[in-house]
Amino acid sequence: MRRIRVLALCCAVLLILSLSAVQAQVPPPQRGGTIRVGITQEIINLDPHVATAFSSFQVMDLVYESLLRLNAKTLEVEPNLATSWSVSADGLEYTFTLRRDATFHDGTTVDASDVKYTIDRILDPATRSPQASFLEPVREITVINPFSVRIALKRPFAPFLSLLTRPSRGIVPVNFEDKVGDARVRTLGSGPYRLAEFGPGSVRLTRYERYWRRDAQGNRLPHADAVIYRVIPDPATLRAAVRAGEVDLIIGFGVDINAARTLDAVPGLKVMSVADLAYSLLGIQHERPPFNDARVKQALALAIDRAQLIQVVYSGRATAAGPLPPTAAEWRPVAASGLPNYRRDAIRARQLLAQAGHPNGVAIKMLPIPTVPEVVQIAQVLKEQLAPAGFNVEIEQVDFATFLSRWRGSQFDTFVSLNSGEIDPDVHLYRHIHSTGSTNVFKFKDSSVDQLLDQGRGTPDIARRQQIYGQLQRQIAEKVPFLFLAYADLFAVARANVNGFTLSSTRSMWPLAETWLAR
Amino acid sequence: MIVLLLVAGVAVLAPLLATYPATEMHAIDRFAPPGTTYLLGTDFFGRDLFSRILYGYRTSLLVAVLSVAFALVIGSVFGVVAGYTGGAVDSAVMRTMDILFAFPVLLLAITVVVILGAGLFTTVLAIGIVYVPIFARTARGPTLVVREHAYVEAAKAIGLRSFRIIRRHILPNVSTPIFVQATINLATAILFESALSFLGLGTQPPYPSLGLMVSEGRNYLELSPWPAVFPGLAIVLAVLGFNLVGDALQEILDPRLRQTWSAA
Amino acid sequence: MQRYVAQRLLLLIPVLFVISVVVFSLMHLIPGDPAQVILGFENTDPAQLAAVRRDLGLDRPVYVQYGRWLGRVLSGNLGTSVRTGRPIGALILEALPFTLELAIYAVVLAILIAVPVGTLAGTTSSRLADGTMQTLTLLGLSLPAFWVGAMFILLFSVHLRWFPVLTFPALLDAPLANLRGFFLPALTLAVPNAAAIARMVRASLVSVRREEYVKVARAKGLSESLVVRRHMLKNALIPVVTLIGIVAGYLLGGSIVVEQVFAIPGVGRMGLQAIVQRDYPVLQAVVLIVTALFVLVNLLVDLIYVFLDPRIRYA
Repeated sequence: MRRIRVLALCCAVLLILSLSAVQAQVPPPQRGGTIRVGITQEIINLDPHVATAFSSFQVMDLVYESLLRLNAKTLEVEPNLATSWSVSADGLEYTFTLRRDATFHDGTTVDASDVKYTIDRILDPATRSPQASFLEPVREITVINPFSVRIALKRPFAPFLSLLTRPSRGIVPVNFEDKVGDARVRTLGSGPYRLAEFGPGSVRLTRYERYWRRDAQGNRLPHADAVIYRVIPDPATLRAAVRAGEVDLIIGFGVDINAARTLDAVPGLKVMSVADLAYSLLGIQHERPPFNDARVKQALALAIDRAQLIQVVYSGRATAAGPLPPTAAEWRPVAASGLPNYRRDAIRARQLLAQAGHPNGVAIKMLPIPTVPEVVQIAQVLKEQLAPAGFNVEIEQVDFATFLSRWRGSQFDTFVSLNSGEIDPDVHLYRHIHSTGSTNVFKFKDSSVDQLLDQGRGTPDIARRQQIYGQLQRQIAEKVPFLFLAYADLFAVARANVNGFTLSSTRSMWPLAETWLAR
Repeated sequence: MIVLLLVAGVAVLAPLLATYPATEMHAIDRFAPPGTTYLLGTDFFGRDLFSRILYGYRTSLLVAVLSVAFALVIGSVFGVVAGYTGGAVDSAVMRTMDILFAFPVLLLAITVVVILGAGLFTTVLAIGIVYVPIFARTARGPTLVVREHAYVEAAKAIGLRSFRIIRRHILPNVSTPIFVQATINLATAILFESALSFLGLGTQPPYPSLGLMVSEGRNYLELSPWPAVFPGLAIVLAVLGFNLVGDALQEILDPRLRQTWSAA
Repeated sequence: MQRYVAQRLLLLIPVLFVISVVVFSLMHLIPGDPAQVILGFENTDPAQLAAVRRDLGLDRPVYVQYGRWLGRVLSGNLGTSVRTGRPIGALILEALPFTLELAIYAVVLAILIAVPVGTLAGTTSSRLADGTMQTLTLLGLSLPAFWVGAMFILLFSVHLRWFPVLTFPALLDAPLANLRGFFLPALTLAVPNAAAIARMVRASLVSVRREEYVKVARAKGLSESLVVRRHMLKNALIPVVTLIGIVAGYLLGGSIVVEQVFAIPGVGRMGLQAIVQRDYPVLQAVVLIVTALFVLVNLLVDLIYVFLDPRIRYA
């Protein structure tokens, strides 16, 4: 007995020693240097409220700041420009207290009137902001004092805080457009970096010296002098560039599991990975034959083998999941195995098709989105999987603008795409599957789903919301508004001297402010 | 010639020779090396490379031959007529060709594909249109030279009809560069198709074309070279075939070369 | 001669006009809508779509849109990009140097490789040497550019580290670094063109070789190298020059694939983006500039004909 105790003591001492050794190994951040990030898409527009391209947000993550932000690791809502907030008992009024040391890149202080101006700008139809639909519940914004602002809602709206966490709702100064000129090519934010150069195929950001945030040790952020984004459209070149040491970090698009495996074996490179919030989906058009028949939808769902799909396309590095992302654990996502219509049954699928009047199978077209490399692969696997169940798939590749217009006009039988996921189930689902949802291109209409969605967004109580979304997940699996395929792992590859970067499920780039280069 | 016959034969007989359906996936055998189960190994999806190359030949040859034939016929007619007639006709035709030609080639092809929707016929048309002015220019250059030759002047002087002069005196002289050009373009058409496929606007997956296979395989070179290497070799073989036949044609059409120059 | 050149230059105007009409019509045949591209996936409000279309003038009839565009261009303003809001003139000035340098570099490399190889193959009596050249050129012709480029990058940039992947400084600032940075993409572009030109040189030489004047020259007892240089090459060059003109024309249009693979923000990539984003005014400008350059190159080629063969006259 005593011996065990001594042993335990020794272990504990060893453990403490080793822990402190680990601690001592973490060197202090070094200031300076330029972080070079390789991205695959052209950077098009830097107006935070108007831009739509993912690459634009990769830049704006460092230039603009919103009231709140998501913790890169835990995905919890945390303070940003707002230091604290309170919600009225009826869930209709949100009051935010702003920090006093935040300034825009022209030196002026970020205050409550800027917040009001920003939200008004987003909601103004003349701005043509794609973000307007997200902030639709806002009734009015009141400046209480320079560092306190109240936002009143039209009705209780449970996911409201999560909507204030992105650079697309980044705070801009009053009279932004007069000050900045053309906001698509020039910027004026309060983030850690400011735009220095917007050249062909690249963007250079330099440190904003008066940025307010400090790291855990009290060092001023950001650490690096500059960040350069280089557009490298070809994934093979992107990988070569990081190997050749000409970029320091590549993330997301172009860095799939195969690339990660190859690059992991290269000395001088390190691979990071995290479960992605984004998910691949198979969209269906509910008003056109053959998917205007519930049996055909169910047959389609039963014809898919997600495990095999994940094995082939993602080499196993993805989660077959239902309507809620596995990363949003708070909302109790139901695993695929626990949902109806998620287990492959080709025979039953054929029967259902026959009952629906297609005894010899049915021909459908499938439109893969051209901007995501894995999607064309997914489409090919789906085509193979669907054939034995009686779906004869023709893959139809179109360019991006054509895809967009067919998507928007609901001119498709099926499409394959990648949706960015959201941490709040309401934002994640409502706009896609509510009959009035802004992106319900599927033309899916179901009154009980609508009802649950409406309840979910109007209920502030978390336990009650969990229940609602538990029910909703099951309903979605049964009614097949579209098919959730997989939540893949997200990869990033960095040079070994890149320290302090947190790869977030949201693909946010703001952790670059805390990133430093060892020399 | 034998090489091309072989390639063409393979393309025609693909369904008989293939050991697997070209689009069948074997999820547990992804990136298999060449062996007895899969002669040339498998690709990303575990599809048999040998069978895909056979079918890929079909697509690629069809696209190449049809698009070059289209361009050769139309382009040569324009070029010879323009060069022989000269003057305003020459200007008009060649300026039109310039306009067509001046379009950045791939942009033109992409535009055609985007308008008409991707597919075999569209690909043929897109590549064909792009190649028309090449043949027009190639045909016009020598026509200009031959036109000034004494024997053409003589033929004109004795009152031979233009059509006859063109057929008897111009065509034989024009055909050498035209056919050299055709052999080059048959090869580049395969590559052109692959560039369109690379941009997602050529052959529609999962159906194979050689170019599409190379462009798909290129992404995974570090994991397995075979999916890029074998289709690449297949392209080289086809191109070789085209060029050897081109040389042979050159001999037949240009008798002066027959004795000393045989296929390399 | 001067009149001829002036005439050809004047012809540029109708050519550009026709091209602009063609591009405009093509762009309106293409499915998809720039207004939708601007609004993206989130903003699906039909009223907003209509408003953006109005902003862009897309609600007007096509001929009105064209008229407005033409008026603006004639007053020297290429307009602004629908998508990025940047002035197109500036965008072109940014992109064009990349493409021009790449094109010229590639043509120079191609000629440097092709003429000696082709001449050797076309004049040698060794069938082995000829066969080797033929095979090598075939290989050069058979490899897709995206594959060659990727191989070059893997070999020369990643493993050997001889050339950088992404460094394209201005020629005047750092000439050596510039030539080094552009070497791999230029070589990638040069490979198939060098092969094509070499084959053309060979084929022309082979057919010229049997011409009477060459036989006469030989009979006169001139040395073989003199025969080749003075009598054969000059006459064989006409189709070769045609081909080089074609190649240069191609390359000026910007090689989309090579620009994609090497991440060069040149005119080709700009044009591709303009199509994908339905950025009509940018595509117009790209095509017009490229066309103008192209016509000039062709004029040059035609003038070289005169120099090479005095029998060709332009009046």
